[in-house]
Amino acid sequence: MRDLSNITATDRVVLRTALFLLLALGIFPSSGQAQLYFDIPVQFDYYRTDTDELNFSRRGAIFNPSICMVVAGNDSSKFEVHVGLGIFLSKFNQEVGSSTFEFNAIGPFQTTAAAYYNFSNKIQAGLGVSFGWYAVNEKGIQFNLDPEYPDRLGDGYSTLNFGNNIDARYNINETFSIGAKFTYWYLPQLEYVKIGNYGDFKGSQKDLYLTRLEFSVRVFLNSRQYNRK
Amino acid sequence: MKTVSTYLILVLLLTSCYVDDESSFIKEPFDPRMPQYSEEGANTAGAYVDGQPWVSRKRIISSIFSSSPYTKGTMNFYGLEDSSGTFVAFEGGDLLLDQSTVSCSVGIVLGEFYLSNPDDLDQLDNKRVELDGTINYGQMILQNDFSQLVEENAGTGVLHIRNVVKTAEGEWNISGTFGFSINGENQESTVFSGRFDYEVSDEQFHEF
Repeated sequence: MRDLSNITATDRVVLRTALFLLLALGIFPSSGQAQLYFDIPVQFDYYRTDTDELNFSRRGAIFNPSICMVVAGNDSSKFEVHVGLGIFLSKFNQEVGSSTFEFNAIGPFQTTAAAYYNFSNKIQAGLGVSFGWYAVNEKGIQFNLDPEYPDRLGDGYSTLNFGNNIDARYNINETFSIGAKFTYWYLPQLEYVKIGNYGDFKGSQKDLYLTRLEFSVRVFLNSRQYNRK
Repeated sequence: MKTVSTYLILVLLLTSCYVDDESSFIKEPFDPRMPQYSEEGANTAGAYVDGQPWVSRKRIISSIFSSSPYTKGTMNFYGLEDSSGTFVAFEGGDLLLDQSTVSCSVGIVLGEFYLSNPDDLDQLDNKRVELDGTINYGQMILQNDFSQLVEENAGTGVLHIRNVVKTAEGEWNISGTFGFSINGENQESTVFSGRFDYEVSDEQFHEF
Protein backbone atom coordinates (compact mmCIF):
# COMPACT_ATOMS: atom_id res chain seq x y z
CA MET A 1 0.00 0.00 0.00
CA ARG A 2 0.97 3.64 -0.40
CA ASP A 3 3.36 4.78 2.31
CA LEU A 4 1.66 7.85 3.77
CA SER A 5 4.67 8.70 5.90
CA ASN A 6 6.44 10.02 2.81
CA ILE A 7 4.21 12.92 1.75
CA THR A 8 5.71 14.74 -1.23
CA ALA A 9 5.15 18.33 -2.35
CA THR A 10 2.79 17.06 -5.06
CA ASP A 11 0.84 15.11 -2.45
CA ARG A 12 0.47 18.28 -0.37
CA VAL A 13 -0.91 20.21 -3.35
CA VAL A 14 -3.38 17.40 -4.03
CA LEU A 15 -4.50 17.26 -0.41
CA ARG A 16 -4.97 21.05 -0.24
CA THR A 17 -6.98 21.01 -3.48
CA ALA A 18 -9.17 18.21 -2.13
CA LEU A 19 -9.75 20.17 1.07
CA PHE A 20 -10.61 23.29 -0.90
CA LEU A 21 -13.11 21.38 -3.05
CA LEU A 22 -14.68 19.80 0.01
CA LEU A 23 -15.13 23.25 1.52
CA ALA A 24 -16.55 24.57 -1.76
CA LEU A 25 -19.00 21.68 -1.93
CA GLY A 26 -20.12 22.53 1.57
CA ILE A 27 -20.31 26.30 1.29
CA PHE A 28 -21.71 27.15 -2.17
CA PRO A 29 -24.76 24.84 -2.18
CA SER A 30 -25.72 25.81 1.37
CA SER A 31 -25.67 29.51 0.44
CA GLY A 32 -27.95 28.88 -2.55
CA GLN A 33 -25.30 29.69 -5.12
CA ALA A 34 -24.87 26.12 -6.34
CA GLN A 35 -26.72 22.84 -6.52
CA LEU A 36 -25.38 19.53 -5.26
CA TYR A 37 -25.85 16.27 -7.10
CA PHE A 38 -24.64 12.70 -7.07
CA ASP A 39 -23.00 11.44 -10.25
CA ILE A 40 -23.54 7.67 -10.39
CA PRO A 41 -21.59 6.20 -13.30
CA VAL A 42 -20.79 2.77 -14.63
CA GLN A 43 -17.19 3.17 -15.72
CA PHE A 44 -15.29 1.27 -18.41
CA ASP A 45 -11.51 1.73 -18.44
CA TYR A 46 -9.45 0.89 -21.48
CA TYR A 47 -5.67 0.48 -21.23
CA ARG A 48 -3.33 0.68 -24.18
CA THR A 49 0.44 0.38 -24.58
CA ASP A 50 3.02 1.41 -27.15
CA THR A 51 4.79 -1.95 -27.10
CA ASP A 52 3.62 -5.47 -27.87
CA GLU A 53 5.64 -6.69 -24.87
CA LEU A 54 3.02 -5.30 -22.49
CA ASN A 55 -0.51 -6.64 -22.46
CA PHE A 56 -2.97 -4.82 -20.19
CA SER A 57 -6.75 -4.96 -20.24
CA ARG A 58 -9.78 -3.68 -18.37
CA ARG A 59 -11.22 -5.88 -15.63
CA GLY A 60 -14.98 -5.49 -15.47
CA ALA A 61 -17.12 -2.41 -15.14
CA ILE A 62 -16.72 -0.12 -12.17
CA PHE A 63 -19.41 1.55 -10.10
CA ASN A 64 -17.83 4.74 -8.80
CA PRO A 65 -20.20 7.50 -7.58
CA SER A 66 -19.03 10.98 -6.76
CA ILE A 67 -20.52 14.12 -5.29
CA CYS A 68 -20.64 17.20 -7.49
CA MET A 69 -22.04 20.70 -7.71
CA VAL A 70 -23.23 22.88 -10.53
CA VAL A 71 -22.97 26.66 -10.62
CA ALA A 72 -24.58 28.98 -13.17
CA GLY A 73 -25.15 32.72 -13.52
CA ASN A 74 -28.92 32.39 -13.23
CA ASP A 75 -31.64 29.81 -13.67
CA SER A 76 -31.77 30.18 -17.46
CA SER A 77 -28.05 30.50 -18.18
CA LYS A 78 -26.78 28.73 -21.29
CA PHE A 79 -23.52 27.94 -19.51
CA GLU A 80 -22.89 25.99 -16.31
CA VAL A 81 -19.77 25.06 -14.38
CA HIS A 82 -19.64 21.63 -12.74
CA VAL A 83 -17.13 20.44 -10.14
CA GLY A 84 -17.02 16.86 -8.88
CA LEU A 85 -15.15 15.08 -6.13
CA GLY A 86 -14.83 11.36 -5.56
CA ILE A 87 -12.36 8.53 -5.29
CA PHE A 88 -10.18 7.24 -8.08
CA LEU A 89 -10.90 3.62 -8.92
CA SER A 90 -9.65 1.52 -11.79
CA LYS A 91 -9.19 -2.23 -12.23
CA PHE A 92 -6.94 -3.84 -14.79
CA ASN A 93 -5.23 -7.10 -15.66
CA GLN A 94 -1.75 -7.76 -16.98
CA GLU A 95 -1.09 -10.87 -19.00
CA VAL A 96 2.47 -12.19 -19.25
CA GLY A 97 3.06 -15.55 -20.85
CA SER A 98 0.37 -17.82 -19.48
CA SER A 99 0.04 -15.80 -16.25
CA THR A 100 -2.57 -13.16 -15.47
CA PHE A 101 -2.02 -10.58 -12.73
CA GLU A 102 -4.87 -8.50 -11.36
CA PHE A 103 -4.30 -4.92 -10.21
CA ASN A 104 -6.38 -2.19 -8.63
CA ALA A 105 -5.66 1.53 -8.80
CA ILE A 106 -7.39 3.06 -5.80
CA GLY A 107 -7.00 6.54 -4.42
CA PRO A 108 -8.75 9.01 -2.17
CA PHE A 109 -9.00 11.76 -4.75
CA GLN A 110 -10.50 12.20 -8.18
CA THR A 111 -11.83 15.54 -9.30
CA THR A 112 -13.49 16.79 -12.43
CA ALA A 113 -14.20 20.34 -13.49
CA ALA A 114 -16.23 21.01 -16.62
CA ALA A 115 -18.07 23.73 -18.48
CA TYR A 116 -21.44 22.77 -19.97
CA TYR A 117 -23.50 24.40 -22.69
CA ASN A 118 -27.27 23.98 -22.64
CA PHE A 119 -28.59 23.42 -26.15
CA SER A 120 -32.11 23.27 -24.69
CA ASN A 121 -33.77 22.56 -21.39
CA LYS A 122 -33.14 18.87 -21.97
CA ILE A 123 -29.84 18.59 -23.86
CA GLN A 124 -26.45 19.78 -22.70
CA ALA A 125 -22.79 19.01 -23.49
CA GLY A 126 -19.63 19.68 -21.54
CA LEU A 127 -15.87 19.88 -21.82
CA GLY A 128 -13.66 19.50 -18.80
CA VAL A 129 -10.54 18.34 -17.03
CA SER A 130 -10.08 15.37 -14.70
CA PHE A 131 -7.41 14.62 -12.14
CA GLY A 132 -6.72 11.46 -10.16
CA TRP A 133 -4.43 10.58 -7.22
CA TYR A 134 -4.10 6.93 -6.28
CA ALA A 135 -1.83 3.93 -5.75
CA VAL A 136 -1.64 0.71 -7.74
CA ASN A 137 -1.68 -2.55 -5.81
CA GLU A 138 -2.06 -6.15 -6.77
CA LYS A 139 -5.47 -7.59 -6.00
CA GLY A 140 -5.69 -10.37 -3.47
CA ILE A 141 -4.26 -11.49 -0.20
CA GLN A 142 -0.59 -11.10 0.52
CA PHE A 143 0.53 -14.46 1.80
CA ASN A 144 3.99 -13.51 3.04
CA LEU A 145 3.09 -11.38 6.07
CA ASP A 146 6.54 -11.54 7.65
CA PRO A 147 7.32 -7.85 8.40
CA GLU A 148 10.99 -8.49 7.74
CA TYR A 149 10.38 -9.93 4.28
CA PRO A 150 7.11 -8.52 2.89
CA ASP A 151 6.19 -9.35 -0.68
CA ARG A 152 5.14 -6.32 -2.68
CA LEU A 153 4.73 -4.77 -6.08
CA GLY A 154 7.87 -3.05 -7.28
CA ASP A 155 8.24 0.61 -8.18
CA GLY A 156 7.06 1.86 -11.54
CA TYR A 157 3.37 2.67 -11.46
CA SER A 158 2.30 6.31 -11.53
CA THR A 159 0.26 7.75 -8.69
CA LEU A 160 -1.13 10.70 -10.69
CA ASN A 161 -3.06 11.20 -13.88
CA PHE A 162 -4.90 14.03 -15.56
CA GLY A 163 -7.05 14.18 -18.62
CA ASN A 164 -9.69 15.93 -20.63
CA ASN A 165 -13.28 14.83 -20.83
CA ILE A 166 -16.25 15.38 -23.10
CA ASP A 167 -19.75 14.77 -21.84
CA ALA A 168 -23.24 14.75 -23.36
CA ARG A 169 -26.36 14.64 -21.17
CA TYR A 170 -30.12 14.45 -21.29
CA ASN A 171 -32.17 15.93 -18.45
CA ILE A 172 -35.10 13.59 -17.76
CA ASN A 173 -36.69 15.90 -15.22
CA GLU A 174 -35.71 18.26 -12.43
CA THR A 175 -34.05 15.52 -10.42
CA PHE A 176 -32.53 13.06 -12.86
CA SER A 177 -30.28 13.28 -15.90
CA ILE A 178 -28.52 10.60 -17.94
CA GLY A 179 -25.41 10.92 -20.01
CA ALA A 180 -22.18 9.54 -21.37
CA LYS A 181 -18.68 10.85 -20.72
CA PHE A 182 -15.37 10.06 -22.41
CA THR A 183 -12.11 10.89 -20.63
CA TYR A 184 -8.71 10.83 -22.30
CA TRP A 185 -6.02 10.54 -19.62
CA TYR A 186 -2.60 11.81 -20.60
CA LEU A 187 0.06 10.53 -18.21
CA PRO A 188 1.83 7.20 -18.83
CA GLN A 189 1.00 4.90 -15.94
CA LEU A 190 4.08 2.69 -15.98
CA GLU A 191 7.77 3.58 -15.98
CA TYR A 192 10.24 0.73 -16.21
CA VAL A 193 13.89 -0.06 -16.77
CA LYS A 194 14.51 -3.32 -18.57
CA ILE A 195 17.54 -5.45 -17.87
CA GLY A 196 19.27 -6.39 -21.11
CA ASN A 197 20.27 -9.92 -22.04
CA TYR A 198 23.73 -9.54 -20.51
CA GLY A 199 22.70 -7.65 -17.39
CA ASP A 200 23.03 -4.10 -18.68
CA PHE A 201 20.33 -1.62 -17.70
CA LYS A 202 18.36 -0.23 -20.62
CA GLY A 203 17.06 3.31 -20.52
CA SER A 204 13.93 4.20 -18.61
CA GLN A 205 10.73 3.86 -20.66
CA LYS A 206 7.21 5.09 -20.04
CA ASP A 207 4.09 3.38 -21.28
CA LEU A 208 0.52 2.35 -20.41
CA TYR A 209 -2.22 4.86 -21.11
CA LEU A 210 -5.82 5.04 -19.96
CA THR A 211 -9.04 6.12 -21.63
CA ARG A 212 -12.38 5.94 -19.86
CA LEU A 213 -15.99 5.72 -20.95
CA GLU A 214 -18.76 6.33 -18.41
CA PHE A 215 -22.52 6.09 -18.55
CA SER A 216 -24.10 7.84 -15.62
CA VAL A 217 -27.25 8.92 -13.86
CA ARG A 218 -27.16 12.19 -11.98
CA VAL A 219 -29.44 12.79 -9.03
CA PHE A 220 -29.86 16.47 -8.16
CA LEU A 221 -30.38 17.10 -4.49
CA ASN A 222 -31.94 20.43 -3.67
CA SER A 223 -34.34 23.04 -4.90
CA ARG A 224 -32.35 24.98 -7.42
CA GLN A 225 -32.91 23.45 -10.86
CA TYR A 226 -31.12 25.89 -13.15
CA ASN A 227 -32.04 25.02 -16.70
CA ARG A 228 -33.69 21.65 -16.04
CA LYS A 229 -37.22 22.95 -15.42
CA MET B 1 -15.12 -44.25 9.45
CA LYS B 2 -14.20 -43.50 5.86
CA THR B 3 -15.01 -39.79 6.40
CA VAL B 4 -12.90 -39.66 9.58
CA SER B 5 -9.98 -41.25 7.74
CA THR B 6 -10.31 -38.75 4.90
CA TYR B 7 -10.29 -35.81 7.35
CA LEU B 8 -7.31 -37.26 9.20
CA ILE B 9 -5.36 -37.60 5.97
CA LEU B 10 -6.31 -34.05 4.97
CA VAL B 11 -5.23 -32.63 8.34
CA LEU B 12 -1.98 -34.60 8.13
CA LEU B 13 -1.27 -33.28 4.64
CA LEU B 14 -2.12 -29.70 5.62
CA THR B 15 0.16 -29.77 8.65
CA SER B 16 2.91 -31.86 7.10
CA CYS B 17 4.69 -29.00 5.42
CA TYR B 18 5.42 -25.43 6.56
CA VAL B 19 7.14 -22.89 4.33
CA ASP B 20 8.84 -19.89 5.93
CA ASP B 21 9.64 -17.22 3.35
CA GLU B 22 12.95 -15.58 4.08
CA SER B 23 12.63 -13.42 1.00
CA SER B 24 10.75 -10.35 -0.19
CA PHE B 25 9.43 -11.00 -3.64
CA ILE B 26 9.32 -7.53 -5.18
CA LYS B 27 7.32 -8.03 -8.34
CA GLU B 28 8.69 -6.23 -11.36
CA PRO B 29 5.78 -4.27 -12.87
CA PHE B 30 7.00 -4.93 -16.42
CA ASP B 31 6.88 -8.69 -15.78
CA PRO B 32 5.41 -9.57 -12.36
CA ARG B 33 6.66 -13.13 -12.65
CA MET B 34 10.15 -11.78 -12.02
CA PRO B 35 11.72 -10.08 -9.00
CA GLN B 36 12.56 -6.43 -9.60
CA TYR B 37 16.24 -5.53 -9.30
CA SER B 38 16.73 -4.34 -5.74
CA GLU B 39 19.48 -3.59 -3.24
CA GLU B 40 17.90 -4.41 0.11
CA GLY B 41 18.70 -8.05 0.77
CA ALA B 42 15.46 -9.39 -0.68
CA ASN B 43 16.98 -12.89 -1.01
CA THR B 44 15.68 -13.35 -4.53
CA ALA B 45 17.13 -13.94 -7.97
CA GLY B 46 15.56 -14.21 -11.39
CA ALA B 47 16.44 -14.60 -15.05
CA TYR B 48 14.97 -15.79 -18.31
CA VAL B 49 16.23 -19.30 -19.06
CA ASP B 50 15.62 -19.99 -22.73
CA GLY B 51 12.97 -17.28 -22.60
CA GLN B 52 11.13 -18.78 -19.62
CA PRO B 53 11.15 -17.12 -16.19
CA TRP B 54 13.47 -18.66 -13.63
CA VAL B 55 12.99 -17.49 -10.05
CA SER B 56 14.89 -18.26 -6.89
CA ARG B 57 13.68 -17.08 -3.49
CA LYS B 58 14.98 -18.19 -0.11
CA ARG B 59 12.56 -20.43 1.71
CA ILE B 60 12.87 -22.68 4.73
CA ILE B 61 10.69 -25.75 4.38
CA SER B 62 9.79 -27.82 7.41
CA SER B 63 8.09 -31.18 7.14
CA ILE B 64 6.91 -33.70 9.70
CA PHE B 65 8.44 -36.32 7.42
CA SER B 66 11.90 -34.79 7.74
CA SER B 67 14.05 -34.50 10.87
CA SER B 68 15.30 -31.02 10.01
CA PRO B 69 14.04 -28.20 7.81
CA TYR B 70 15.79 -27.57 4.53
CA THR B 71 16.44 -24.30 2.76
CA LYS B 72 16.01 -23.67 -0.95
CA GLY B 73 16.49 -20.65 -3.13
CA THR B 74 19.77 -19.70 -1.49
CA MET B 75 22.91 -17.98 -2.73
CA ASN B 76 26.00 -19.99 -1.80
CA PHE B 77 29.72 -19.47 -2.33
CA TYR B 78 31.88 -22.54 -2.94
CA GLY B 79 35.64 -22.21 -2.78
CA LEU B 80 37.24 -24.14 -5.62
CA GLU B 81 40.19 -26.50 -5.24
CA ASP B 82 43.57 -24.87 -4.46
CA SER B 83 41.80 -21.55 -3.90
CA SER B 84 41.56 -21.26 -7.68
CA GLY B 85 38.33 -19.33 -7.58
CA THR B 86 34.79 -19.35 -6.31
CA PHE B 87 31.62 -20.89 -7.60
CA VAL B 88 28.68 -18.58 -6.84
CA ALA B 89 25.46 -20.61 -6.95
CA PHE B 90 21.81 -19.63 -6.84
CA GLU B 91 20.48 -22.97 -5.72
CA GLY B 92 16.99 -24.38 -5.62
CA GLY B 93 15.26 -22.05 -8.02
CA ASP B 94 12.27 -22.85 -10.16
CA LEU B 95 11.95 -22.63 -13.90
CA LEU B 96 8.35 -21.62 -14.59
CA LEU B 97 7.15 -23.36 -17.72
CA ASP B 98 3.65 -22.88 -19.12
CA GLN B 99 2.01 -25.74 -17.30
CA SER B 100 4.66 -26.91 -14.85
CA THR B 101 7.65 -25.97 -12.73
CA VAL B 102 11.11 -27.49 -13.05
CA SER B 103 13.82 -27.23 -10.40
CA CYS B 104 16.76 -25.33 -11.76
CA SER B 105 19.89 -23.72 -10.38
CA VAL B 106 22.12 -21.09 -11.91
CA GLY B 107 25.73 -20.47 -11.01
CA ILE B 108 28.76 -18.46 -12.00
CA VAL B 109 32.39 -19.52 -11.66
CA LEU B 110 34.67 -16.64 -10.76
CA GLY B 111 38.19 -17.84 -11.48
CA GLU B 112 39.68 -14.49 -10.55
CA PHE B 113 38.20 -14.26 -7.05
CA TYR B 114 38.60 -16.60 -4.09
CA LEU B 115 35.90 -15.80 -1.56
CA SER B 116 36.10 -17.66 1.74
CA ASN B 117 34.04 -15.44 4.03
CA PRO B 118 31.54 -12.56 3.80
CA ASP B 119 34.19 -9.87 4.24
CA ASP B 120 35.82 -11.05 0.99
CA LEU B 121 32.77 -9.77 -0.91
CA ASP B 122 34.09 -6.23 -0.64
CA GLN B 123 36.53 -6.91 -3.47
CA LEU B 124 33.59 -7.49 -5.84
CA ASP B 125 31.91 -4.12 -5.35
CA ASN B 126 31.10 -2.40 -8.65
CA LYS B 127 32.98 -5.03 -10.65
CA ARG B 128 32.03 -5.94 -14.20
CA VAL B 129 33.21 -9.51 -14.70
CA GLU B 130 33.51 -10.79 -18.25
CA LEU B 131 32.38 -14.40 -18.37
CA ASP B 132 34.87 -15.53 -20.99
CA GLY B 133 33.99 -19.20 -20.84
CA THR B 134 37.33 -20.33 -19.44
CA ILE B 135 38.38 -18.44 -16.29
CA ASN B 136 34.94 -17.04 -15.50
CA TYR B 137 31.83 -18.75 -16.79
CA GLY B 138 28.16 -19.45 -16.19
CA GLN B 139 26.47 -22.72 -15.37
CA MET B 140 22.85 -23.74 -15.62
CA ILE B 141 21.81 -26.99 -13.99
CA LEU B 142 18.39 -28.55 -14.15
CA GLN B 143 17.28 -30.51 -11.08
CA ASN B 144 19.76 -28.57 -8.89
CA ASP B 145 22.52 -31.18 -9.17
CA PHE B 146 25.74 -29.26 -8.65
CA SER B 147 27.87 -32.29 -7.83
CA GLN B 148 30.43 -31.10 -10.35
CA LEU B 149 31.05 -28.21 -12.69
CA VAL B 150 30.49 -29.01 -16.34
CA GLU B 151 33.21 -27.02 -18.04
CA GLU B 152 32.11 -28.23 -21.48
CA ASN B 153 28.92 -26.27 -20.94
CA ALA B 154 30.56 -23.04 -19.81
CA GLY B 155 28.42 -19.98 -20.44
CA THR B 156 29.85 -16.75 -21.82
CA GLY B 157 28.45 -13.35 -20.95
CA VAL B 158 28.75 -10.72 -18.23
CA LEU B 159 28.26 -10.44 -14.46
CA HIS B 160 27.73 -6.97 -13.02
CA ILE B 161 28.18 -6.68 -9.25
CA ARG B 162 26.28 -3.46 -8.63
CA ASN B 163 26.09 -3.16 -4.87
CA VAL B 164 28.01 -4.73 -2.00
CA VAL B 165 27.29 -3.34 1.43
CA LYS B 166 28.09 -4.47 4.95
CA THR B 167 24.97 -4.50 7.11
CA ALA B 168 26.39 -5.91 10.34
CA GLU B 169 29.48 -7.72 11.56
CA GLY B 170 29.91 -10.67 9.20
CA GLU B 171 26.75 -9.85 7.28
CA TRP B 172 26.60 -8.31 3.83
CA ASN B 173 24.08 -7.61 1.09
CA ILE B 174 25.10 -8.21 -2.50
CA SER B 175 23.14 -7.26 -5.62
CA GLY B 176 23.85 -7.50 -9.30
CA THR B 177 22.77 -8.42 -12.78
CA PHE B 178 24.05 -11.02 -15.22
CA GLY B 179 23.46 -12.86 -18.43
CA PHE B 180 25.21 -15.63 -20.33
CA SER B 181 24.68 -18.07 -23.13
CA ILE B 182 25.80 -21.68 -23.22
CA ASN B 183 26.85 -23.23 -26.50
CA GLY B 184 28.22 -26.50 -25.15
CA GLU B 185 28.41 -29.99 -26.54
CA ASN B 186 25.55 -31.21 -24.39
CA GLN B 187 23.69 -28.00 -23.73
CA GLU B 188 22.59 -24.93 -25.64
CA SER B 189 20.81 -22.46 -23.41
CA THR B 190 20.50 -18.79 -22.66
CA VAL B 191 20.28 -17.31 -19.18
CA PHE B 192 19.40 -13.70 -19.91
CA SER B 193 18.39 -10.57 -17.97
CA GLY B 194 19.49 -12.04 -14.63
CA ARG B 195 19.22 -10.13 -11.38
CA PHE B 196 19.93 -11.02 -7.74
CA ASP B 197 19.74 -9.42 -4.32
CA TYR B 198 20.87 -11.52 -1.33
CA GLU B 199 21.85 -11.31 2.29
CA VAL B 200 25.12 -13.10 2.86
CA SER B 201 26.55 -14.52 6.06
CA ASP B 202 29.25 -17.00 6.98
CA GLU B 203 27.01 -20.05 6.71
CA GLN B 204 26.74 -19.53 2.94
CA PHE B 205 30.48 -20.20 2.38
CA HIS B 206 31.58 -23.78 1.68
CA GLU B 207 34.27 -25.79 0.02
CA PHE B 208 33.16 -27.27 -3.29
